[in-house]
Amino acid sequence: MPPPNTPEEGLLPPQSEPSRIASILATATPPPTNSSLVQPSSPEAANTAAPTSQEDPALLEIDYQILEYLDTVDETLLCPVCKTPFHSPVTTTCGHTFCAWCINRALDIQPTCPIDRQPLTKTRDYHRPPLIIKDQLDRLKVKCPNKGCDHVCSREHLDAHYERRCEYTMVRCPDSKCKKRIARRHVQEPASTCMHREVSCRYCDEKVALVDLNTHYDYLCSGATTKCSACDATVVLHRMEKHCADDCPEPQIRCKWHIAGCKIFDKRYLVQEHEDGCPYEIIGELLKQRAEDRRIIDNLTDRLVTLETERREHQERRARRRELSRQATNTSRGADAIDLSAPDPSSFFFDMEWRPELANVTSGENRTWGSPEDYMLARFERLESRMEDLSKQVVEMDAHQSMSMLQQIMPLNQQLVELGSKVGVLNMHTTWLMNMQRHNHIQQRAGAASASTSGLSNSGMVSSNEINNNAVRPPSEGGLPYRSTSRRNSDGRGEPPPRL
Amino acid sequence: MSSMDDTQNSAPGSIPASKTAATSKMGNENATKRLQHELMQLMTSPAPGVSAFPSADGNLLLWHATIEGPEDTPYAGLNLKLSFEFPANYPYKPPTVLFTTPIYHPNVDFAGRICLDILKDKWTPAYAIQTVLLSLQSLLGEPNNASPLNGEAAELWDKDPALFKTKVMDRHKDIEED
Repeated sequence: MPPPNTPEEGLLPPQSEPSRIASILATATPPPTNSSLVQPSSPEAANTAAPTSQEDPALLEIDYQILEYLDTVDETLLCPVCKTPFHSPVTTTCGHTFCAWCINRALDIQPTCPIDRQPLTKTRDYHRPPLIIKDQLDRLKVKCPNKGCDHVCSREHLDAHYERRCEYTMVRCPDSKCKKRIARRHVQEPASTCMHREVSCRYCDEKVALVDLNTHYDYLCSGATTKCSACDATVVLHRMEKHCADDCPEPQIRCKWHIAGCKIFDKRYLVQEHEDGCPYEIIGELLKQRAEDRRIIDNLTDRLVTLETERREHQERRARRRELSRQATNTSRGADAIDLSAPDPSSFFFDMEWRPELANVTSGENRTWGSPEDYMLARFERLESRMEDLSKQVVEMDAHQSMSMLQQIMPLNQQLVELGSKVGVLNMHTTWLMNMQRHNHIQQRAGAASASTSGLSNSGMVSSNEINNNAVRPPSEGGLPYRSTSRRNSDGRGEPPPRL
Repeated sequence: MSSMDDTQNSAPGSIPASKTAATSKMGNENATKRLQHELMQLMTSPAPGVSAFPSADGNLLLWHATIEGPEDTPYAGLNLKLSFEFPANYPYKPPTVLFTTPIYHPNVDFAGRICLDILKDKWTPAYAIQTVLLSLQSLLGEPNNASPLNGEAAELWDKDPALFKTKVMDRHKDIEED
């Protein structure tokens, strides 16, 4: 199996010139031509594609000429021959860069540079292109060539995705007798089951390959549709359950913000319309955020508790160990006195309880500790620092939350203040109006008094104030529009309302 | 992309030297891919005065193109139509380009065949439809009178520009797009 078709020559260790060029040529395989890469969902295409080569490769190679690039690629990165971004580029002696495959093919037909027509010899006149070109190519964002896969990555990672991870890559059928290819996601356990064997459709008489069964049910099956009893839509039988649960517009559901207090409970399509502008959405989002924060805090608290208990345990052990070592020293002193060939006293207190941790010390840490005490102390220090970190994080989280709360509340406060000032202004207006009214009445009363003294000749004269505030009306007639007592009282001065 | 022949590659590195059936099929595929890219480029960044589009029957190897006659030439204001026929191993081999509009020009004969080096021995795979059209557009203003297909036109070009212009207008006939 040749190495994956990657333009990786830049990463190869330095080689002598001819062998390096040879390696370029080896990686510059002609672009695969089968369209099953483009249409991996059609098993027939894969079927005809696979057996034609003598040695069936595990994977079809990526056709770099049909890759879809996310952004417009700078023209300088396009091969002048195939007009697509370079794949395994080589630079000629005259300084032009091409895909290795394109220039090989062009030189087969005419041994001159396609750009400046300088005579060129295949392979001999090739150089490694500047690494900056490779870097630029590697950085291009491409879509996975497999149909159905939305994966987007930089081009250098495409091979890995395609070969190892993409669930849509056509791989060999796990059944060694079967020559067809199958999308990786359709390979099922047990691994040797061939997904190409035919089964009969549950709803019609057709025979369908196992791998195509779902597609068949969804799009092709003739006898499998039914009417939804609620919404009258034609639904594929196979999808009926899902339709009723998720799609049917008729059944009544609750607004998704019901956790925030929204009371809407209606048919699905109405609720979906409503959800777009649901006034509870803001609160709902806040609640969600809060739940998330809560979860994180709980998590941290849990960890804190565990750490705390761990620490306590360690302390206890330490105390016990001290006790033990004291005893041991005592004993060993005794033992020294009795028999010098007694086993090393240190091995005595490294008894079973300590062994696992000592193993940790040597293998896990790759460090040698002077003594178990040092090790334990170091561990305690580490634990303490971790605890400090954690409590710092908790405090930060708390601060973060109160900040976000504050940010929510601030605008509300401002609005309240605004409202308050507006009420004040209104109050002033009312007072002013009341005063004006009162003033008018006083004037009227005075006018009436003078009219009665000066006789009927003056009765036609009406004060201008009166015109402003009352509809033209003889003063002898009854009350004013402002007579309601509540209005009067809002004046707040407790003065008796002026009356005629 | 239409489902083309599913020819699995032969062993990597074996660059087709002989023209077997397999390689010609593969070439066809590559020609289609390249033409798709060119179509995309023509649509996204069209050059002024020239346009091209695949023929209506969906065959990507057959295109129709239009050149507007450049100002300050006898062809000013005329729309000249051309047909492109691409070989299966395009872009390694040049397309066959013909004027479908009758044109009076020193380097074009009465069947519409064009004498232009880049469409013959000077072709390189770096040329594309757009570059060919632009070359033809400049050929309209600067004919190569040293190797004419239409000797009379080559003579008149220098001797009697007024008569040349009349001949151009007489010969020109707007044709319907098929």
